[in-house]
Amino acid sequence: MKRLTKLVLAALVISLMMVGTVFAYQQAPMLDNMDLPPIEERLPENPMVLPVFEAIGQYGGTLRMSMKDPFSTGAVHSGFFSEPLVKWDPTGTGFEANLAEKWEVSEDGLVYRFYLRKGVKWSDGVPLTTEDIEFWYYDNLLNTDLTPAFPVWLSSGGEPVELHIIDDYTFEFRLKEPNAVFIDNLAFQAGGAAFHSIMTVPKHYLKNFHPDYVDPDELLAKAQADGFDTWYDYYYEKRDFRINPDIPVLTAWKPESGLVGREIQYWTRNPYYWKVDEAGNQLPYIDRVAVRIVGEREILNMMIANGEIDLDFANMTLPDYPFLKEHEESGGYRVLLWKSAFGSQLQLFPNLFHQDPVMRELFNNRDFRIALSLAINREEINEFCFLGLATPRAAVISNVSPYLRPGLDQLYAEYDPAKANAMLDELGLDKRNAAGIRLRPDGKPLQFVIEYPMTSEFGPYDDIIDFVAGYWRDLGIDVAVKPLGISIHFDRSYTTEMDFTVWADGRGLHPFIQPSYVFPAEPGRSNGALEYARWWNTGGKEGIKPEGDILRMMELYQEFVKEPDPDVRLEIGRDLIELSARTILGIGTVGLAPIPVVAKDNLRNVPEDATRDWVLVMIGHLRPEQYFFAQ
Amino acid sequence: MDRLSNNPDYELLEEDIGTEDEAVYVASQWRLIWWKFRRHRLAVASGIVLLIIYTLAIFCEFISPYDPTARNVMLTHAPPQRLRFVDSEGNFSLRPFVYGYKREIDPNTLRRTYSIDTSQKYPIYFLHRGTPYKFWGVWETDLHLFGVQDGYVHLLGTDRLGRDMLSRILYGARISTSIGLVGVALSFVLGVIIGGFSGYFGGWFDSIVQRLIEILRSIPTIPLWMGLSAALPPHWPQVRVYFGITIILSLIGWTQLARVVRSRFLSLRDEDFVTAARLCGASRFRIVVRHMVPSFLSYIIASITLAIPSMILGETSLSFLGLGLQAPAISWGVLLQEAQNVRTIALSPWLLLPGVMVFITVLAFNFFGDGLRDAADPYAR
Amino acid sequence: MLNYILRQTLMMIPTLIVISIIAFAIIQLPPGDFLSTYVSQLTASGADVDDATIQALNRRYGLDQPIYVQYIKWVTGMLRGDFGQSFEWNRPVNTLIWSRLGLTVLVSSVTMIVTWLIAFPIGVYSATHQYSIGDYLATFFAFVGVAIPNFMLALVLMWIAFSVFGQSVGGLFSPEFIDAPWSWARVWDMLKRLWIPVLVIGTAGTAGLIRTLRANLLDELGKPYVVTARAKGVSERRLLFKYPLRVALIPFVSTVGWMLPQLISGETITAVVLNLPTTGPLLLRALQSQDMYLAGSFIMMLSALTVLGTLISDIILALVDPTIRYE
Repeated sequence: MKRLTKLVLAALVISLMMVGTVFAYQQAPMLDNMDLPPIEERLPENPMVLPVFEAIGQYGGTLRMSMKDPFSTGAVHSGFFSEPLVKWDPTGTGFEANLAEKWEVSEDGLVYRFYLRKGVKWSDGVPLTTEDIEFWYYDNLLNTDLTPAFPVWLSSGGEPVELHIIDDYTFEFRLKEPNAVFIDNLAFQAGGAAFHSIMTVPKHYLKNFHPDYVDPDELLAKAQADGFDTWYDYYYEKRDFRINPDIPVLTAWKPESGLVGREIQYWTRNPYYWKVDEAGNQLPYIDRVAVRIVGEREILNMMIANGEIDLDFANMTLPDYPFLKEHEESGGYRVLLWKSAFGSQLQLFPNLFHQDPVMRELFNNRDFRIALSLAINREEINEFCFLGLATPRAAVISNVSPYLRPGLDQLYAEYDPAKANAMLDELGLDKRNAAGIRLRPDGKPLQFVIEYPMTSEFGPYDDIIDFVAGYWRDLGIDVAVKPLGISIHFDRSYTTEMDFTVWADGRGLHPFIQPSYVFPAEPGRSNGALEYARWWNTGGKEGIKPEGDILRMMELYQEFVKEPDPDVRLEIGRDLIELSARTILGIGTVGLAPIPVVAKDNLRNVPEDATRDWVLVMIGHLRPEQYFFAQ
Repeated sequence: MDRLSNNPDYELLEEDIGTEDEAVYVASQWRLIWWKFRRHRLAVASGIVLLIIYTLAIFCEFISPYDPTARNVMLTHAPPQRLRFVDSEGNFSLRPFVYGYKREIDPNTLRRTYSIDTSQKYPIYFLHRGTPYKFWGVWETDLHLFGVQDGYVHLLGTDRLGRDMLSRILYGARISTSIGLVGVALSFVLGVIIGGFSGYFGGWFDSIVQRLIEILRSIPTIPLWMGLSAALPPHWPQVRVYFGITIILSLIGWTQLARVVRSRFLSLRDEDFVTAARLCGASRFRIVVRHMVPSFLSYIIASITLAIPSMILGETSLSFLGLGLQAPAISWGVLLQEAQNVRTIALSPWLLLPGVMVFITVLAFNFFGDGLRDAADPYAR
Repeated sequence: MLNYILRQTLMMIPTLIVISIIAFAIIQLPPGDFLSTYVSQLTASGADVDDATIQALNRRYGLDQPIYVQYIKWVTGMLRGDFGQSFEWNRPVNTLIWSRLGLTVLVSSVTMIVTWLIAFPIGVYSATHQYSIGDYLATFFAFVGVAIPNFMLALVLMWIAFSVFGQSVGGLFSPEFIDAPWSWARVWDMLKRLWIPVLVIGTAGTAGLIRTLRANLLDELGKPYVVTARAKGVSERRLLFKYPLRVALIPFVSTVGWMLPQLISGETITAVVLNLPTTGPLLLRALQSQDMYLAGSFIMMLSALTVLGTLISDIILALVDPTIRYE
């Protein structure tokens, strides 16, 4: 530790001395004997200088991580290996320059101009220019073989945004109408989390596999020789860095070999990486990354306790916490609790389009939903399902977000069963049968089934549902519960067959990027309000047009997105969130549950306090390139 | 190995001939089977164990001190309480009692830990009036085999929500042990009918059945389970899922039985007594029912007994794969699935007790079935 | 004889056709398809996928075509030796299965040998010492493995290896040996981990073997020729090994064919819990994510091997046991 502080001091002195002088860059010792151009030539003219979280690091070491399965979720891949134009800052609320040195937005909010960092090179030494952007845009996104559906977030007024190349390092996106979340989307969607990673297409390499640049017949023959039916299946393989280790990348580490079918995926430092620390050391500090595929969580737990994992930010949940803490010393690691951005780990949605008219009327009654919400003892759920570490609250966005007006997080979230009972009585549900079950207006007993997916990603769903069902039974409702496989649950969210369904309340930091948690905007995700979401999603062609508050929310959202003035926009956003909270389409339980993150004791520069979220590209904003092993 | 003659079986046989030989000649087939079965002491002991387990399962509401879904949130992950007769001051009391727990939360690991609190002493009363329940879903009562007046008794500890493990294991026994029985009964019906006809009639019917069995047996079990259990509609209530699962297990299980039945039929068809019956003019139906079935029934019973444990294990595997019963239903498979993690093994190993129950039951069935099979053909030496 | 083999081989064809239909149907049975499982997994980690993207992927994977078209495409591909492409891995099915086959066969064959080494002496002993304490003890231990659910046994053993011996667990090799070439150090490293799967899978298999061997041997020992031989003063050892044991082994020889699919698939659930790099977890994952061609081809392969194995068994049986008629 002492050595570390000395090192920091030394680094500080050095960096102070260098102010105003020509920067001298250093490279990792492992690169010294390689046949490479000097470091100054590999770095861009103006390398990105990353301020360190803790200390100037030391070179070397292999970072051991793990992943559940090689592909599907890709949390580790996108967190570690994404370099968008614009990146989220470490707080996860603002932006910072990345591949784009800077960017400008025109006053009317219609033109976004980006300036690429000059001299950034792909991992094979070829410079990145707007030609790559052009290739990505025209030959990938607008090629209907490769991209049958143009990404919605890059559309404006129903059409793709226009790309204009100004020079080798400057380009513009021109929009039809203002889009308040355009940059947010660039940082999120293009960060690698979704399917159309903006910066992973090196033209000089990929054009060899594109029919607009080579002979289509020859290409097809090559594709077929490799066992593909079409050129674009072949191209997908060539473009995917997880399969094809030859593709040049811009990330801190590059794959050592194809990752498919490997038990351990090795990544090695990219000698052309374009970021340095304040002392002029080229990043990353760590030489190699080894991602082990561990399909079975329990093995991962033991591996961590055994000290075989250096960093885990993607696989642990709160129930693991006591076990992890118990083995902290033997495993030589520390457990950090990072924040999540889930307004509610689980919220319950009544089906507003229930096929039984009596139930439909009840579920559409806001007072009914409020009564159910008041009956939930959130403190108890927090205590027993989240070790008391989460926050009892309504299903609204995180308190960190500027869009949340104070107090809304506790709206209808107090535990008041007496009031809940009184409200149900007032709704005409005051008669009960011999078993104490309330009778509906038509004389049938009031009963419904809560369907929930068998997942533990957001919390122990089994247990939370067990508690909630208990509280509602105490109200005199005959509640049954039904666990479903996660994909069956997903399929059913496209139907109106269920009574009650559940999901987490996500996007707590950035509610308006994908607003389906604010109002019904996406059929598969707006549980309980399917037809409204369909109406919104298809621009009124399908589904059912909502009325009143729900329609008002949709209007507010449109106003929000098109409003160029940030102050006015903030107020609209707040109005929208407030209306959403008051409408209470989803009944929240507890939220903002922390995420246990495991980091080896000597792995430094890992922030103690941070937010991990899908929108933030997991930990892309937490600068993994500057983590290092203190020796 | 060189002392084959010291085999207890031989000695017994010699004994039999000496003292009971007349009894042997006039004894009925079933009596002979019983005599032979008796000699397999492990099998007899297993039979008694099974009897106890099924009694527990049948009367689980009465024997459980608590409702298996009742939570005690102040007592999550509490270890089993020891049944005591002597208190901390050395006083003996005939009435057993348990000590209460003092609960603490480790500020570092946030783990709930419990220490014995000798100031809380809960005597156990038998035939105690506790939480009301409906016995077999029919008679409403609140009589439990045992319970405590105030305080709590968790002889096998509690789970993460403070639910009594003893009660959960007992309720789980009802589902898990009956799944085996019901499933086997279904397989039995299918197997005997199809196998029997196949063996008796032979010809094209037999070939088709043989192909069918071959196909069913050649498809790996797990995909077959997954496909079939996915066909259970998602909105089904747990009871129906339960029956669905038994049907799935038996749809796969019947092939084995059908093969046994068929081969027995084939070998019996040419036996002298069958020929004799045919020559005497007995009808086909009479030959099958009166002569053939009794002579291989004992084999079938043995095969069935040996099929039950694999059904019980099948249920746990289905739950493990997320295909079988799921919480809030209570079966041993569900309980085990909940315990299938290292934090349970490390911090609350008593949650693995359902596994011990599965172990005992399966073992008992295997020995019992083994004994039955040894005894199945009493006329063999 | 040749005629018999030929006829049985021809009989395999319709069986295989039916199996291919069933294999395909099994994967289609669960609601949804690969995409819905894929997208639902993505959403479970916090992502949102818009409808347009789902439609696009649907087309890319050919999931928008009618089922019979997909089936025909798959079957005709198989005839050419092309088992199709795995959606999830974006690789040809052949490559994926081959990459895991070596270690799978290794684990399975070691397990089988160990199973036999345990089962054979115990079986003989309990048959010759029926109802003795030794018989009871031997059978008891043989059944222990059967009676504990494999997944639980695997986890508990792993926990013991971890907490008592401080061993690192999971997989077949330590990280440094995973991609290393074969060497004695690597073999030793593997043996240190191999005992858990061998024990779990092996113990589950011994009981069945012991039971059958014991029963067969008991049957034989009761036959008149044994009694005659004993009366003539043949030594007990010779008495046992000369004929009864050989005859008792016939049923085992005939099940050799059945081991073919076992060699390839291993024990899935155990392999999943132990994170073994074998084919079992690959198949399970493919089934769970409805990765159609991977799962379907795998089922097809295993089933075909079973059918083939049965044929081999029949032929061996016919060769070994002269009492069998070829009708």
